[in-house]
Amino acid sequence: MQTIIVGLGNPILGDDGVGWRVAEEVSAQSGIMLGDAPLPHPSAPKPDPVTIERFSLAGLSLMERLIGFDRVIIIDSLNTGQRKQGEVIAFTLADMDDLTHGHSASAHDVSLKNALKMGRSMGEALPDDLHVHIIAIEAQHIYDFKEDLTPQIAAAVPVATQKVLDLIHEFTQTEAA
Amino acid sequence: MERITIDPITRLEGHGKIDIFLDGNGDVANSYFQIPELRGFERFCVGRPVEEMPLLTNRICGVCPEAHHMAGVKAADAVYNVDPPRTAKMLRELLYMAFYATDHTTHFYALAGPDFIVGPDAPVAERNILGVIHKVGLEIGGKVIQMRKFGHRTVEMIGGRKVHPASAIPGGVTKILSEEERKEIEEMGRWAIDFALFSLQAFNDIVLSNKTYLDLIVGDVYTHKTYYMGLVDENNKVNFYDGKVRVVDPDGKEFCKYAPNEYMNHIAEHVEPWTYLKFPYLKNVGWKGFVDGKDSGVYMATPLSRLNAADGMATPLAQEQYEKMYATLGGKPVHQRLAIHWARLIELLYAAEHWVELATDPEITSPNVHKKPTGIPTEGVGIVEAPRGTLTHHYWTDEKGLLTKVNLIVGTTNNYAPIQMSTKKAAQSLIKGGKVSEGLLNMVEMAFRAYDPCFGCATHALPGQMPLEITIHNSDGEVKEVLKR
Repeated sequence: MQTIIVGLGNPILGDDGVGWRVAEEVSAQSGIMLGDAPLPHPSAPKPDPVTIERFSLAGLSLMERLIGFDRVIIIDSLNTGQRKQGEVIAFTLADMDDLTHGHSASAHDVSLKNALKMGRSMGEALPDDLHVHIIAIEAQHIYDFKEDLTPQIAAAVPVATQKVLDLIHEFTQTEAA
Repeated sequence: MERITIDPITRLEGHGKIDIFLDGNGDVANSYFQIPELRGFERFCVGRPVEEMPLLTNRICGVCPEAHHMAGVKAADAVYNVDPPRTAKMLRELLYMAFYATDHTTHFYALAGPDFIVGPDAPVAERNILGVIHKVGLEIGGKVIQMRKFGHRTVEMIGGRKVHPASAIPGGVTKILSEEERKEIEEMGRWAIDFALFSLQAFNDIVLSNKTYLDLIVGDVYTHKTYYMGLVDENNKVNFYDGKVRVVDPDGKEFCKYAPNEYMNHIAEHVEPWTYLKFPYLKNVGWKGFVDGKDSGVYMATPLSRLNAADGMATPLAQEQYEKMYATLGGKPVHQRLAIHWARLIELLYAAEHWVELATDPEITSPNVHKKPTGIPTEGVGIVEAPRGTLTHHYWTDEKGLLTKVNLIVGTTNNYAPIQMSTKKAAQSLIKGGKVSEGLLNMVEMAFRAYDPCFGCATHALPGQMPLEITIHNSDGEVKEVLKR
């Protein structure tokens, strides 16, 4: 089973960069290198290759980078305005409503859900929505150019990191069973 | 597990939000389309070395990093007053052609396609790329994916990175193209030409042969007689990477033609109290409000504008298609906004043809790809055509090359005034005497989608897409109806 962890966001747009920071922290704590690197200890009992990437992508472009993976963990900022700043929630793509069905006022792309459907219908090896896990961090300041996170969001980084590490652990347990 | 519902309204603070105000008779008095503004970019840049800009600016947007990379490096060339070797310029342009082919493909099939192939009246759930594939067949989806793969591959080979290219630096590029890579790029380019021709044929068969669609394109709802802007080469042919900016008037006559560093003599920005985003207009015509005509400084910068502003295409097959479009739509310039989609496909063909021209140039594999900048840095402007319109980067530095000031006019911003006018006109035709016709959302969407407005910056945060919300207010300003999706 191949897993890809994707820190999503724009690292120069303030709290939108939180996904990148979490991906970096997961890398630091797990010893998995950023980029296309396999686990550092191939002889360890959990030999599944896990890849950690940092992307500023959406829709089709994001889908294209998930081809060939069985499981995906996406870490991203979430802007509902209804949750506490820095609140971390976990769900899968299957739990998420496809708001626009496609493209209405779109940002020049299709939704990830539709992009994945399209990719699958083209025969690309892509995980189903239940295997696309999302760790989201509620954040408001995602339109200001700056490289650091606001304190509430920075405080959420270890929480989100732990959730990602727990998920990886869960995967390996399931596989071992 | 908890079900996640993201309320569109909260996500809409200032984005993709249209407010329509009716007069006492229930007709449309005004409409306001708000798009988000990214704050603080200039402050973010000041004090950084100018050579960082091609890397930094391509992070502004997840959709067109290549365009910012090119405008940024051209502005940095100008700051150092360095003219890169021919091969370096060709490599930059080759990367840019592959990017254009990819970007225009995505827009046509994922965004425009649903309106024209699935149909503007089709249920929303079907009006997406899956609906297009369902209607035209799996083969088309495979081709779209293939085109994107080839585009990404070429960008990666020349740009050194898959997504945000990193190879262009002041004075040239950092990477030489090997003969092996060149061959592969040439083959992919030849495939892209076939794909572009296939796309134009599909447009002809599905859209132009359908009277309803053709009527929609040539109809009045989506027509505005404005000025048109685009970059042209020395023969006044469309160019994406280099040249002078040419503007034609609503009759198609050249109004002005200027070098990038003269843009401030020609473009000014109008401010409205209800939006942070400014409206660029032609300074020497003047701002007369959101109106079209020769006396209004409103201009458009889109694929159609580029074709209108030029005398033709620089490659043979694209030129044939150019002539066909103007013959079909009654000569130049074409004012019908939905023809932007057709122009986009002609540009796709040009990009593919030019891709092969560049990949087969005997000097493309030359190792002479960089000229060391030796001048004292001062100030520079770089202009390229981004897929969504003329993109201007203007940098000022101190003598050490550290930025003191930055000004950007991005593709979509050029079109903010025309988008405003088009959405208003669509609303006017669909709201009469207080009655809102079915399909208002669709028609308004089609109005601005033609411009391919890009809010790439907003695509990163979940849900990754902006829903559309239209609020209709009565003559007292009270909310009468809210339409959203």
